[in-house]
Amino acid sequence: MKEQKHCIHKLRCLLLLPLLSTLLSGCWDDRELSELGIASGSAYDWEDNQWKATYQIINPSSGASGMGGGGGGSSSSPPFLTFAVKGKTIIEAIQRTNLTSVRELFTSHSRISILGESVARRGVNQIIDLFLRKQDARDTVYVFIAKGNAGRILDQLMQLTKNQGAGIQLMIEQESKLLSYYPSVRMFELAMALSSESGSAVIPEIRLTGKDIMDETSETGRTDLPSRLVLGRLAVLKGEKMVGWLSQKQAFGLTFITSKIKMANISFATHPQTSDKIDGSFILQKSATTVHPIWAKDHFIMDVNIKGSGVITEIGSAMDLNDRASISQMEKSIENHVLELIENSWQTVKQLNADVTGFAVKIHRSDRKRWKQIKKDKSWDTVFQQIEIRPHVSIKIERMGLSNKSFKSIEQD
Amino acid sequence: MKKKQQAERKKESDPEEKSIPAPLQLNASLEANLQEISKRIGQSSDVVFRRFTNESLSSLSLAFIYIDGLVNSEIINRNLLQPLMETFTLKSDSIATEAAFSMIKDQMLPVGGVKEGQTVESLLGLLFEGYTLILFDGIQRALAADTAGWEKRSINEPTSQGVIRGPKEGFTESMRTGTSMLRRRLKTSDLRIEEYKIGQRTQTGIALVYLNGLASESVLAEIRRRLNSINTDSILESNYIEEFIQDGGLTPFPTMQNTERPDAIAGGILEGQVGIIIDGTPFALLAPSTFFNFFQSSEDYYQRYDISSFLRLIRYSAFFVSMLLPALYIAVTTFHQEMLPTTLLISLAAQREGVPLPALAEALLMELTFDVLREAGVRMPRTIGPAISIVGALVLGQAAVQAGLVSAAMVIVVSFTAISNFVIPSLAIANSIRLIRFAMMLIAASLGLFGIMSSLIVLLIHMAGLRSFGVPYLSPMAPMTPRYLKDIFIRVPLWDMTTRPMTNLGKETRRQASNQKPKPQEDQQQQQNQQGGNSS
Amino acid sequence: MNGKIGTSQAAMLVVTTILPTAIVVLPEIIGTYAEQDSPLAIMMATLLGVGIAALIGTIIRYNNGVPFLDWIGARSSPLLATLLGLLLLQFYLDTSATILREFVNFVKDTVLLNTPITVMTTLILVITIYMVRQGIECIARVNSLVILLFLFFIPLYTFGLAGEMNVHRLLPIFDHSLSTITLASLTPTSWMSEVAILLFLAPYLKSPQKARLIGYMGLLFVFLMMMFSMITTMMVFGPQYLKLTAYPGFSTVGIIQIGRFVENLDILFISYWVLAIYLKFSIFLFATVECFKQTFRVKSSRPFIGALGLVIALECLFTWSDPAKLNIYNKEGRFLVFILFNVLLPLAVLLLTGLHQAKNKRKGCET
Repeated sequence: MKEQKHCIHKLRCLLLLPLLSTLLSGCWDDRELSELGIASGSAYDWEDNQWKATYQIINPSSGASGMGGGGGGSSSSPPFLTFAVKGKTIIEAIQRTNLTSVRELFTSHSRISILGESVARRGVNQIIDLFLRKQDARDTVYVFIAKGNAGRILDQLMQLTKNQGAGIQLMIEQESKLLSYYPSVRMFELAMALSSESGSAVIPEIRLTGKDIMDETSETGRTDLPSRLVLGRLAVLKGEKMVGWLSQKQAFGLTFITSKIKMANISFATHPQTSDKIDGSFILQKSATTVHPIWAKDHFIMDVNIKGSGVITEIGSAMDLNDRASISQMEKSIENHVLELIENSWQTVKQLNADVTGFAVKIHRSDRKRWKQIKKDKSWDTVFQQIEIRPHVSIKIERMGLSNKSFKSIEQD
Repeated sequence: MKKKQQAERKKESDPEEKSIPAPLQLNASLEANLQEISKRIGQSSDVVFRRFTNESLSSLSLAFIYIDGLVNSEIINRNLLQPLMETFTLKSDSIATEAAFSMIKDQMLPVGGVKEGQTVESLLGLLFEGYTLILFDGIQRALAADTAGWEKRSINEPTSQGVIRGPKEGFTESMRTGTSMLRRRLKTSDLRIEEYKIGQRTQTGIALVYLNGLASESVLAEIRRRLNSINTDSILESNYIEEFIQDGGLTPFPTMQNTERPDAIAGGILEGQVGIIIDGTPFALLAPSTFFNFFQSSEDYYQRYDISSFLRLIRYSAFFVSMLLPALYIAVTTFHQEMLPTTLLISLAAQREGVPLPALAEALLMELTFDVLREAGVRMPRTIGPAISIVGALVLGQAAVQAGLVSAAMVIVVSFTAISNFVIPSLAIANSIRLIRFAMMLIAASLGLFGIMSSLIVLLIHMAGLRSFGVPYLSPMAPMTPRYLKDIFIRVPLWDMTTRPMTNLGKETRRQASNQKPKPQEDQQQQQNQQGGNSS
Repeated sequence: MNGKIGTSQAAMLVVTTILPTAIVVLPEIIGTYAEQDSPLAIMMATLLGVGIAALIGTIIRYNNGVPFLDWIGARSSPLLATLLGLLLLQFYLDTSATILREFVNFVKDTVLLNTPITVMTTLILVITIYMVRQGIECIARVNSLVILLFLFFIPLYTFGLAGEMNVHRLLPIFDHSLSTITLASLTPTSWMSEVAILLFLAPYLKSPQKARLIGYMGLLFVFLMMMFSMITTMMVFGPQYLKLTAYPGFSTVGIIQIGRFVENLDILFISYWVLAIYLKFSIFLFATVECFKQTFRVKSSRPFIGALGLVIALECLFTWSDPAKLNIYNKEGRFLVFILFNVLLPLAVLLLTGLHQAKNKRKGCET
């Protein structure tokens, strides 16, 4: 009995052996670090009825790891390289990079994705699907739109960071944290917005300030680059297609409506009664927007309530801040300014007829019966056109900064 | 089938049994006895035969046999030879041989232990323990007087387990010294010391030390049974015993603790464990032991509970680091690069640029190098130790990176792994994970984190199935007994440790009164008053 | 080696029996039907599940921990027991095979894209066979440890996603008709009905009398976890996007970002999930082996574990090689099969024995 058992045991060991050896010999999924082309950003264009995918691949040996530091590493080799390849589908284009690149493309660390206007006009569904489906594509990349050739943007070198993709990510994150002109849009947020009841989305634009592209490492040696990357306008998408642009100011108004303000700077006229001169700055630190749809017989009225508070940072006129009246006067001025922003923005949105305000979602949430009817009739576009907004803004100046009187009023004394 | 095998087994075991001869009774003739004994021992130079006749005892012929080096010659001279060789006048002139024997035994040997033996084997056994044999002509019995006294190492600080605070004495090679150290610590009549002699050729003394009433009877019975069933010719170190009696023959995990520290053994015994002290080695064993016992050091109880708890957590993390870090490094850098922060990934990639080996080979190379260095460090003569460590650290670490053979990150990973391994207080479990680490690295290189997780679940299941003398290896975590967790991941203050932490051991689970948290005098009084008020 | 399992350990076994695949497969299926009303669907499924647990608990209470099929054999005829046993065996083989397939599919989808499926199946099988050989008690112990790890992962998940969550995405509730919600709750009910595995664990329970309590406790925890997962996922993604992703739970983890250092945590959560699914598969393999043992009245099941494992592996490799087939089975076929074997069959057995008892009583009265 014992021997038999022993035999079985041996047999079992023998059976395990091939499994072990296949395990050891087969490294089906491993990719050595030195064989990876780590992409930090990608751009997609539609050219000659073909997809053109541009990838920005980090060159590790140039010391591109320093997000903040410019020093270290040999500066002669560029911190990243770009590949642009065309294909009938996006994946075909990606796969074709292997024709030119020595390294396997690895997109998990990609931070940004820039869509050319051509792509956005044609439709972005295919790209979103790719990002949701592909295992190593992250759906947390920030999405941008570039007028004209998107791939060009990726060539631009940045200062203070060598990894351009991460640099642009930092830019948009800081912008939406400190300035709130544009919402930062990540791929899954874009997908969420497009798949929501509104079916519309916005994407910030990225462009170059100058005409030339700084794509030589020697050029970044200058202190003031003649051409830099900058966030421009806000593209509006309806369905999957781009329908138009919102200017920076209109985009700012939209962030108020969609309650995406984290911190913002508002310039206003300190004495609105006497002069229209914009001579004060206010930093909005807290802001919340609530939107209530009200059915008024034949159309919806959106009750937009904005409450905010913040601190005064700059006053260019004579002003005594101990005086409650002058403060409320300034508050009023800021409120009017915001109202103006919202109205301006709303008019354009209405013109574009794209519900980037997310009103459809609000209506669905608060009035699901009527929403069902709208959905049945497929009449959202007309309903949207009839929507009237009633913005109420209430801004509170909480603190005045470190001085109680404006310098100008002291000077006058 | 069964019968056949039984027959075979008998055949196998028969010749061995024949080799052990039946005990031989002593002869009446002194001459014959001496011849027999010297035949048995052979011409060993250290055995001393001393014959003489005492006129006073009716010219009785006597012989002393002892082994030089095992005995204290001063005792022999003063307490054996002197009284027996002195001439004195007896009350009666002549005395029968039998009477002389009993007179010598009862009145003339000022020695503590005197035993009587009738067979050659039993006498030889005593002889090898340092007894001096006294053989008489005409009597079929012999006396053996305890004259043991050999050179011993004095009690020293334990070299393998040092402490900053705590007793600095360690066991020595003598079992007797060991038991005495325990007696000094546990002054209770409940302390039991059972002795065994194991090993046909070595006859090693083994002492089972436990507290009666605290140690579980079933565990004791199991240990006794396993000790008694050991059939071997030699026991030279405690590991012989450990391998023969521990559970799970094919497990990488130790199920018995070993320590040089008497206070650790005493602490274990006080928690219901059984200590096993083995003659010839300073390392004593403690059983049953759970996985978590290996992370407790006796120093935990000699310093404040907060820092002890912190150190416990450090040890557990060191355990995981030591087992998994190289494997995780391989898995993350070759499979799951997305897990790393981008900056780290890029700097790792920059380091690996130009390294010719794949990550697995790189890791294996470095790990093996470290193991070689470690082994060399143990064997090395002390004087050239520093030289080798410089070579090891500088040449193999720094130079290998500069030469582009390995990446700097890998050197960091391997050295951190190695250092972590030394954090674990028990060398036994630290050694077991050294091997597991290699298996982990291999599976991580072929299947990534999925492979690591798969092997972790195998390890977990294996450990959950292990038992140490009936105690589940992972208790009190699995099966979970929350009230015993006070001394596992953290160490609660001593006044809060009212129960013994070991599970299903012993009967007295309570070890001290509760509510011993130190409080100012007034509070105590107030509380007492309140209680008194309530009760009245 | 097989010891007894305590009550809380058994409840945790029930959790592991249901949760690991449920949390991966269900959100998408429920979300497709019920959108914002998914929590309601889960609630409904849990209520039905509690009913099933009560039924199973009652049976175990009747037979007091005697192996299920032996008990049927003793109560009615051994032939019936064998027949039932064969049916159940088929059911458990199928279910184990689908679990294995879901496991392999998921790992292949998310982590190991190029690793051959045969190698993975074999590896998983070998490990699971080892687990089953160690006995259900060991599985229960490890299971309780693994469930303890929730204490680490849930706070990490909640903390990491706190910034992305928006309560308003849960609105509007009651948007869907009762029939839609019922439809959505069918599939989760079939998952909840897996509590019936207790029938085969009963002989190993310390106190089989508490089987009902075990079922309730297990289901309650599953319910809480499912609600947590569903609600957080919806708060992050909203119901529409939910339908797009194959594994919403892990997609939410994918967007966790704590500082600039901790991100892309999905692999970490997947690793944890791998531990849980190993346990789930081993519980089912154990039940299969137990069913086999009771059906054919073998004394020791150890030699058959490997063989049964092989059958499961082959079924997994060849019957379920098409993912679409598995999806359809999960969405449509599964409910019928599970209700049949986990609810109707035990119910029939209970009624039969009840009748039997009544008859016996009457007989007793007459004589």
